[in-house]
Amino acid sequence: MPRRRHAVPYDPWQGTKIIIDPATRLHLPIHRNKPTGNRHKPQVRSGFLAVRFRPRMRSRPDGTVFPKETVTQSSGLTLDKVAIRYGETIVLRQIDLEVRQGELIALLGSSGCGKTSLLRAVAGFVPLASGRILVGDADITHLPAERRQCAMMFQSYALWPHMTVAQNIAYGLRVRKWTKDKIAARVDEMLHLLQLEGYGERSVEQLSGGQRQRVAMGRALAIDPALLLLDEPMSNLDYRIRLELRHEIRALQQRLGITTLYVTHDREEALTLADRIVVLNAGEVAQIGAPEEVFHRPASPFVAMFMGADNTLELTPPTGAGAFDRSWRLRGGDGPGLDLSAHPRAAALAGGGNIRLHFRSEAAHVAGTRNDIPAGEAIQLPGAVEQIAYLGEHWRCRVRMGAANIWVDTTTPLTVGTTAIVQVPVSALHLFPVST
Amino acid sequence: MSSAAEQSSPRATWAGMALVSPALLVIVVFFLGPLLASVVSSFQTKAGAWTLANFDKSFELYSGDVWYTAVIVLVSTLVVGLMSVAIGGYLTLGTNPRAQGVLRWLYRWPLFIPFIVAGQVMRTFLAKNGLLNQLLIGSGILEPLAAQSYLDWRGIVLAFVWKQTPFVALMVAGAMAAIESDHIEAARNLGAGRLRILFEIIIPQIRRTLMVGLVLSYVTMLSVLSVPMMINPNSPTMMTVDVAYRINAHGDYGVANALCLISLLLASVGAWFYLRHGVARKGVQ
Repeated sequence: MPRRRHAVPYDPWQGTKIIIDPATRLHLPIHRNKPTGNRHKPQVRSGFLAVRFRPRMRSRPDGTVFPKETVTQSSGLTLDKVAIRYGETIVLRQIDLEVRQGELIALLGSSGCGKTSLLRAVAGFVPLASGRILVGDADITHLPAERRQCAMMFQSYALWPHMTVAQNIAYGLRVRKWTKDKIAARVDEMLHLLQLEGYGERSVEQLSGGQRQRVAMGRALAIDPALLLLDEPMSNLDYRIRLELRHEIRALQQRLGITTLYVTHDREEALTLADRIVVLNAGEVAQIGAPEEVFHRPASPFVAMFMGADNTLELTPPTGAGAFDRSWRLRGGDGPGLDLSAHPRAAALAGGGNIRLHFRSEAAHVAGTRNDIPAGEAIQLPGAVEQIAYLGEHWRCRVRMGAANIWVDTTTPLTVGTTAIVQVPVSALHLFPVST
Repeated sequence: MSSAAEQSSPRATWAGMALVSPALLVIVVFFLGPLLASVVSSFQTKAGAWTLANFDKSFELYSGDVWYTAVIVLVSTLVVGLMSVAIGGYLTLGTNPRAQGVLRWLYRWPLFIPFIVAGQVMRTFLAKNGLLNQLLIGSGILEPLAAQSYLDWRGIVLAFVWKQTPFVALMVAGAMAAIESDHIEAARNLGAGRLRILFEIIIPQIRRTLMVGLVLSYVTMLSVLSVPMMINPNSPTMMTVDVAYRINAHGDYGVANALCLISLLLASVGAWFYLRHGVARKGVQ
């Protein structure tokens, strides 16, 4: 008699018990036959049939509905040397990050820097090349996306068009097998929280962009997630709605006390919303810090540029000992020496090679257009006005000095071709060695 | 002058008619004309008198075959639907890229094989001494004496499913691939497993495409002669075989046309679904 193969389907989760971590409320598998050191590392299953034999997710332990002023049992997040690669391309390398419970972290960077990949890795949609992801103390690195309890809000909102607003919000609760009454109560609560009362039975296709954004937020929050992951949630909205919603999101996040990762390429959004900002550049962390710190004390030329200090000038250092004051000069220029002695980093950089200074257009002004800054507290940059653009509240002028161009904001329009002396407070300068 | 006004001018109307007329003429001469003649003929005797005798005879002799045809085509359509969803679902949600690649490569092959070849292949495969029984006997699952022929309704269903599944699966897989991956990931993110995503997120979004594919497949199967002729030409058999028999053996165009009209009514059910969904879709657009 030939042997029947696969008479009993192979189930890699056989002998596995699912527990709900009381701290994180994550559904964690415990392998009874494995050493305890491996208890939080579930085996990754593959294949379509494996779905049939997957242990069922448990419904919420007590099945109760949250009161309106509830604070979720949110957890902190730890990224431990996280690396991601797509084939041979390294997308993220060695990312270390500790997100405190209830904190909102903005992942800020330009397109392709890896910020969305990092968010998707936390959500479980992108496998790690190396490193670990922990929610609270639980290692979720190998947990499938559907079991991570990390609610993600997609850039496109990803609302299902064949469902109503209420059905979209209720979906995660139906998956968790809540009773109809409790689902209805929770949906009502979400609609109230997001000011969408009366919209429950509408098709999502009948909603405006801002309303869709709220529905997506409600769907994510309804399941009371351990982590909230927001992937550029306002990039599809117009500016005025973005301004309104960013404050609403911040207020809601603080009210619920939910740990949040917020991906954006908009620095203003990051500065407004975040407790801390992580600036990413080419797959690496360029700087982590509070918004004020990142804005005023950028750690690298990239961060300075990204945070708006995009006027750059290269300076040559003092040529001889004792000739420090007014001895920095524009590289390739024949203008006057620049006095940087008031800057805290100038002395340290004086002994090295060329430096690059960065400053914001709004930090500079043209001498004579308003009160001049006292000598010694500002550098003076003479140049010719080449271009003027009206921005509404002020004019932005391009001033050429030698081979370099800078942009400066003025309250009165300048005449193209005239000479202007641009003053920049030393305290508004960011200095970096050219090698960085 | 606006373009709308130009289009509604008599000259533009005649030009439009002139452009459409060749296609319209082909439809009238080669499709509507013969169809109308066939319908009229089904209500006439050979002498040209009006009668329902052709239908009486059709139901007397072939009512079993009408049911046989309807059941076979409906069962085949159902199985085609299930197989297409399974194939499309695995191509969309599967986790093994190699298996997906193999499936994607394989499932379309029967599309390029004519029905008559499919019938012949099934005949070789399903006969009492065919390849299927040999495999079952060789693997010890079946005793040689218990071997039986599958060249009956089962064979026809299998041939139809084998031939039509790739067509519907192609449409379904395309529609599934067009769904934004965010929609699937959003469901996973909320804790839904793959089967749940398939039935609750994906199928509702592609149901119109699935319905259109199944309707087209249903009508195609209803009109196939070669497969039932190759696999099971004996009674009970499908109506297409009966029609061919009435014409070739008896020259009985009246009953043949009556059977064709009954077949047309069965196809109309599918057409009704097709138009209903087509109109609904157009309304949405």
